[in-house]
Amino acid sequence: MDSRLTGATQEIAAKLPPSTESAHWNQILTSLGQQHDKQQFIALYEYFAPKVKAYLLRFTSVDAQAEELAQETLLQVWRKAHLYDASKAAASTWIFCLARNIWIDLQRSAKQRIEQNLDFYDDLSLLQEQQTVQESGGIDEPEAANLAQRSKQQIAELLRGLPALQAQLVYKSYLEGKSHSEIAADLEIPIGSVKSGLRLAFKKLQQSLGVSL
Amino acid sequence: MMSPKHHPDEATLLSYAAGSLSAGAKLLLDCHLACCESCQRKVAQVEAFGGELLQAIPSAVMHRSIDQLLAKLDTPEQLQALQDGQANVKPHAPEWLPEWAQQLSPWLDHEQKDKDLWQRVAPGISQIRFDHERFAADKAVRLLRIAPGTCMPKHGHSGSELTLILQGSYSDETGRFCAGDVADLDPDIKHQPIADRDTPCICLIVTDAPLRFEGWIPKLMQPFFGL
Ligand SMILES: [Zn+2]
Repeated sequence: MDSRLTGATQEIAAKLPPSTESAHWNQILTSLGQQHDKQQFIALYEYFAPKVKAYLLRFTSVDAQAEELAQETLLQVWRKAHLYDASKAAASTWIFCLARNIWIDLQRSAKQRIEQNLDFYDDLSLLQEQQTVQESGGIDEPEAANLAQRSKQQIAELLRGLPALQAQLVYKSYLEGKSHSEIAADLEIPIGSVKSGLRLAFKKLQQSLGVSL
Repeated sequence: MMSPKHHPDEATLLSYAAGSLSAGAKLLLDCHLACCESCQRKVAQVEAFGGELLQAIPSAVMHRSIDQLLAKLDTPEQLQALQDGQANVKPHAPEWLPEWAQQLSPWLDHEQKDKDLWQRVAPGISQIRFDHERFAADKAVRLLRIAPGTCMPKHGHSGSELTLILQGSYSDETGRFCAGDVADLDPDIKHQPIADRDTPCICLIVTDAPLRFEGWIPKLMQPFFGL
């Protein structure tokens, strides 16, 4: 177990993207469902397709496959936009679910365990650096920081409020696609501990995200 | 909508939202969610975390142009036809399969008569196993039909076990389980279900494949139907 994070026990701060930005995409997706306007689709594509591809690259290291599935996801956005209800979920959540389901449907047999591009420790070492910076008084994020780096920080940021084990369990669930028994085997802890850790994480995520719905 | 009394563990709901449940466990949850608003709300809450992750994740570079995809987009008329087509698909399913559990229908062999689907495993107990390769990551996915009043042997599990009641009811040390209810058991729980007296109890049972910890909890009993 990685003990570097034991200081990170504060509640998850609701690190939401500016709500206006979220609302913007919710609105575009809603109107896409009503009007099937290609310009709106292009806007959604340009913002979300690279993110969906990046998400899928967590599960497959085949770039062309991730890209194809990202396009398939956006095709479904076009087809199913009329089902989107902004009062129930943010556009990003709805598209996350489409991408997730496409990936699940593709897994025909036992999970394809393809080499993953990034792992928990890459993202967490970054979190560690951030915390050190913040503990020493905090600095402004440099304007020049590239998008990838900022985004990566945001993942770490989202997991920050969780104690180390819970952060790891959540990470493995969402970004490595591992089931309780797979996580138990990975971390060499009993399934019961995986479940109780995820139960606690559930409560914290619920508290921190509940307000944003 | 019905309101089930027993629900999956929140850890299980989180994994459902994350997309990391085994195929069998996901299928079981799909059915429960179709009849449980309370769990739908909880899943939506943790799916929102997935949305946050999607926004936070580093954007990848797209190599193909969007034009290919734009050329594939359905026209509004085609979209309408797609919607109409979906509304008309009514799968024919056995009468014991509730409306909210229609997702199980594709996994049943519709060529066979209902009585031939069920395979007897012990007095008063028969099963349908879902042996499709899709469920390879699950130790077993099966429907169990238990005759009224049948007492199952007391057993424990080396992995976790999810049970969804489709019809009838049973009781065990942890309570009474009726249609729509889920029992989400940790590996260390022993139980002895008894089907209630009025109707046969039909349930979907998904057992998790234990990986490295097979020997960690002593096998309390090797259940006779091979759980
Ligand atoms: Zn429920």
